[in-house]
Amino acid sequence: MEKKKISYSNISEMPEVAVAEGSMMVNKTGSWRYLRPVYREKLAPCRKGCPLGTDIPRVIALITQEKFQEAWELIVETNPIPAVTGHACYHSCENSCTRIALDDRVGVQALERFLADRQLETPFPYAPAPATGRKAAVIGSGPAGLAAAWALVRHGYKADVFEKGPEAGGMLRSTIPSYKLSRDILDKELERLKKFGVDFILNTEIGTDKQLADLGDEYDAVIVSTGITSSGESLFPDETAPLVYKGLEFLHLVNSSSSPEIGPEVIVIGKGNTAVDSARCARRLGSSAKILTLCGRPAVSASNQEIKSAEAEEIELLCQAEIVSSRIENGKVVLELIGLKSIEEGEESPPDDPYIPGSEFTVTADTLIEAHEESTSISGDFESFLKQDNVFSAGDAATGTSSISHAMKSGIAAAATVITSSLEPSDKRDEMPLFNLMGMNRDCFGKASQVELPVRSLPDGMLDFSELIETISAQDAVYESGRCISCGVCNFCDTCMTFCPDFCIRRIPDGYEVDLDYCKGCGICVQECPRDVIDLIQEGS
Amino acid sequence: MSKNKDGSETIVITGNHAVSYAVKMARTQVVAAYPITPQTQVVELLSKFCEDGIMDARFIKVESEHTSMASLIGASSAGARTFTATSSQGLALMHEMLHWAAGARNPIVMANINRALGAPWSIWTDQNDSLSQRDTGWIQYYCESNQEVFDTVLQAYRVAEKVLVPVMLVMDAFVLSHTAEPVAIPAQEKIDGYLPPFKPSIKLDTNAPAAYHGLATPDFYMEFRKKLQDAQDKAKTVITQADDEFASVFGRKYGQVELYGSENPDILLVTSGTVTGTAREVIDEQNAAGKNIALLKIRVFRPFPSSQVREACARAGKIAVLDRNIGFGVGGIFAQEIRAALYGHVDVQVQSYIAGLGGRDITPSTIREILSQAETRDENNGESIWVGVKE
Amino acid sequence: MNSVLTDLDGAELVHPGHLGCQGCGASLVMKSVLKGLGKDSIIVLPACCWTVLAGPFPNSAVDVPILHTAFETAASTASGVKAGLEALGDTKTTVVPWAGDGGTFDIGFQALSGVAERNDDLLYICYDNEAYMNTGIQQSSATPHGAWTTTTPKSKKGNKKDILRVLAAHQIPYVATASVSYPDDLVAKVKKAKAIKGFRFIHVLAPCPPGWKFSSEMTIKLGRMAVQSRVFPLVEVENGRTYKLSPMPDKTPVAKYLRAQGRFKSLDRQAMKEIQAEIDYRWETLLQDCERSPAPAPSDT
Repeated sequence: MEKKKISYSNISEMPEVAVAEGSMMVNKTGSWRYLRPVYREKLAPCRKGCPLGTDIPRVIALITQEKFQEAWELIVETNPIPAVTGHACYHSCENSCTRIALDDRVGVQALERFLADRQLETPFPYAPAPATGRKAAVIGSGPAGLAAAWALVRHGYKADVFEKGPEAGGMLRSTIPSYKLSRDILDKELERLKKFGVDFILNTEIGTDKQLADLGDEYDAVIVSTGITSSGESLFPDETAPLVYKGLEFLHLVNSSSSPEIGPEVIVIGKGNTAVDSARCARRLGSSAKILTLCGRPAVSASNQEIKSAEAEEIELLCQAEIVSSRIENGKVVLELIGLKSIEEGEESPPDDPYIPGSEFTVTADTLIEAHEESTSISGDFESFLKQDNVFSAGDAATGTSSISHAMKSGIAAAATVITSSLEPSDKRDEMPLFNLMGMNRDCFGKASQVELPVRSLPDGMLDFSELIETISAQDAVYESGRCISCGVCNFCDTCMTFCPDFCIRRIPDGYEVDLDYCKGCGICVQECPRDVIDLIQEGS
Repeated sequence: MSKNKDGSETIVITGNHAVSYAVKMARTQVVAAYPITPQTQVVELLSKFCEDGIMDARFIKVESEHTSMASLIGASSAGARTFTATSSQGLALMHEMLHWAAGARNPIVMANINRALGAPWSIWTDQNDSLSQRDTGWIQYYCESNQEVFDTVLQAYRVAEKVLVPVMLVMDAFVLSHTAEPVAIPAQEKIDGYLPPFKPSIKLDTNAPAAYHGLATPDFYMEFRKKLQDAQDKAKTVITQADDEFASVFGRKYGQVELYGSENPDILLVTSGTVTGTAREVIDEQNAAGKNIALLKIRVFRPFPSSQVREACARAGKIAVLDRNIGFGVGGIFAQEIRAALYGHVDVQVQSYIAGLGGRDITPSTIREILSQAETRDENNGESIWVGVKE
Repeated sequence: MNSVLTDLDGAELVHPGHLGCQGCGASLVMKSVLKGLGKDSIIVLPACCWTVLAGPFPNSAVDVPILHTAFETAASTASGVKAGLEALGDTKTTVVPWAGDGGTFDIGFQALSGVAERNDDLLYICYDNEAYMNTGIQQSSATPHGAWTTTTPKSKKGNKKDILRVLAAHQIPYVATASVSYPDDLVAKVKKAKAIKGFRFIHVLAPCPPGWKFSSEMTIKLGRMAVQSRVFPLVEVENGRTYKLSPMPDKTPVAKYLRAQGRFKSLDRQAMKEIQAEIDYRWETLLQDCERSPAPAPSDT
């Protein structure tokens, strides 16, 4: 109620008794303050950990409000293929989740997948910028190429993506096993990109079907995102399938219509995801599989989730051993190994004698899949071509083996370089202060276990190439999103307002506003904010 | 019980019950009270009236006199007509809230049955309990008869609600409180005509939220004190108006003071309360024997009727004040008040006689002795003369 | 997620500009209670911090009528207000005696017991900051054992009066404890109490930064710690016999709560152990009372 401002200058104006009809709003208690609360968003660890910089806390906040399409729209601001990442990205964002300190990480992947699967038919919520008249060629249609092309089109470029195979998708199609990423899903995402304006020129290998030099002439810019095609040195350079495979070649064969021939016992050498993928595919082809990482457990680079899945599929992981000798014997691969001492934490170098005496052992296999360190395919003509001003490299081709999202980031970065003048920096993360665990109000968060991922039920011991994990329900998505702390990002929880003892915090469209006429600077809002969104600064600073 | 020509009925009741009847007929809405001798009969009868359904009031049976006054402050602030009765220790316990009620301008009416204060314990009459409250801001009436008690309750509400000042009606323990006398009880319609329902201009109202009686800084406090003093001043007129109108409706009139006898007496005896009745007899007797003595009954003590007192004293030879109280370290309290009223206006000797403390009887001979001393004494040193003390 | 306190569908009945100290817990009690009660309420306010908070004449920080009254008369004056309103035909207004711990546990105790015994139709709020804060931090019978105040310059000897049980022993319809740190619970209890006829008593812990000697931003945290440590359990007692615990957070050691406040600085480990034992005993007793409580009669619900 708006009350009148009251003053009395003589006794006759005053009421008969001391009845106070005015409002204490006349008393501007803001003058008591020497500290001032300021709403200042922090960079959440998940967003920091996401190569694409997706605003994960906000996406999740929208899920809590059941604004699923809006949440998806926020993802596609930074990620043009969210279903692909929802199914197949390793989500390094989850590794730094604050929630781990309380119980378990928030299932960001499951949430992303939930959103993306709902919106497979939904076009991007934005149109390409008006055509600039400039055009770019993108060589390779893997995640880096797709992301680069999307970014270019979005900013008014014409983008032609050259793919040597009959279908777009690059490693998404050729390397990622279909039990992780259904090809239907990939096709839908590609379809959306096509509708958005990305042109795919298929069955066209650069250097063979079309010359590099021609590209340089035809296009204002060229982005080389050809990915990885070869996988390192071999123990048996002279042997061929079905005895010995390279990891990527094996996966390519698995993902093509022709199933590769393998023996009943398979050994995979490698410590990365390619190794695990190969082993899991081998299991699906009916063989047993072991993985020789040739390194200590901490040095294994495959994602934990993948290793867990592999172990669940009875794939043995042999770590902490080194190959002493190898040979082919009676049509089988025979590897002699010796155990390695583990390097204690804090020790800088391996011990002088790294071997464990008496730990020698032998493994034999019908098929060996070599999936160790992979390298790029950029060589020869490409190398000199890349020296031109308007040619850029992206993805694994540029950086070596990484992940889908890192490749996409690299593609977007290359596109940004192409566009330069017109591309606004979409990643403001460098300017943001980091979320501080000390600023979190732990009392606001009780324990809540992570949502259980639905697994397609298969007859005992059977494995196939259809997706194993299913998409979570809307109800579970809302539950899981409710576990998010929303580190450093206001999710309008009203805690600051609720506990302001001076009733001077009010809602505004994008958050809250402190009425500095009355704020006494007690700091309760800062202390109570569950998620470190408010800072207390010296008045006048 | 007898029916009178004016429609009233005369019944024989104690002073206490005269209060109860008047409070009922004033259509009092909230009563809060705690038992104390010699007041208890007042509220016993009121609780019976409420219980029997012949009085439409909330009776709060509180756990102390302090609470009864606090409760009435609440009820009055909500806009209800309120009443309580107490005595002596109970009144003293209320002291804090008497100030509050006056400051809050709650027109509460209270009957105080004069009883001496401990220690030592006494249950018998004197005026020290009520006179100790003279600076609380309350209006005080001292009554002489049960009829006056009944009538004063009605006048008290008229005055209190007009000037927004609480009123204390005072009568002597036992001598009046427990003594039955004929009292004419007017018809309810006549009382309703004289005393319309209480409609306060200021009361708690959830539709007009305001804070009542909160902190008044030095910037404002003094004005509220001045307003209370102004209300007491205004009450002098209002009391007379209420008395005049009462006379026109009911045919009885009391004045703020009553002069009984000659306008230029050799001795003017000043009394209050029941002792006045005794004094009337003695003065009649003495004047019949050739003396020239008059009586001034002081009925209203707050606001003090200074001008009426000056007028009555202007042609008297000497003033003898009978105080059934003692202002320790000074003397009789009425005497002090009268001296203050006369100072600078009337140059007359004011003698102070202390008698009847703690219920000691003031008999005709006590008054004869006072008058005899007054006749012979010719000093004016301000000291009080104790009458009837064992020597 | 959003709190009932910021549910803006009704007018805010208490507003900024009040004279509470920085981080004042008592101010939030008013906000919660009025959120639960709405505008048809009258507050009867004896001497306490809120006498100052509400503001001096001619202004008020509260948009319901306040009747200021003497220190010991919250219950008694309110009882009269209710009687007066009823006499005038108003039965819907909730009359709220609103007192601090001194006005409730100490000087106002007699009148409080009186209204409780009469079961007057009042909703009494005691906001408890555990000492006479308005006069400058003197011990009250709500001051906990071991606390410094200006009149217990070392530390208070003797326990805090168990006002919950004292009131429950009056067998009034509703007694509850609540905390500023659990506003949803507090508002729910106020709403529940509002719907009950007769004398209702809600005891709200209101941490006080200057009086308890902690930094002003910690008010809510301290209130929470009091509940977590079981120093101040959240409980309801109906008709003097049905004890019911409100949802309680996990139990934490009392030492954590005590160490967070300067007023307990003098306590050594042994003293804290003894306090812990006392808290444990009381908590166990409370759990037993809850366990053996009869189910509320159908007419009570």
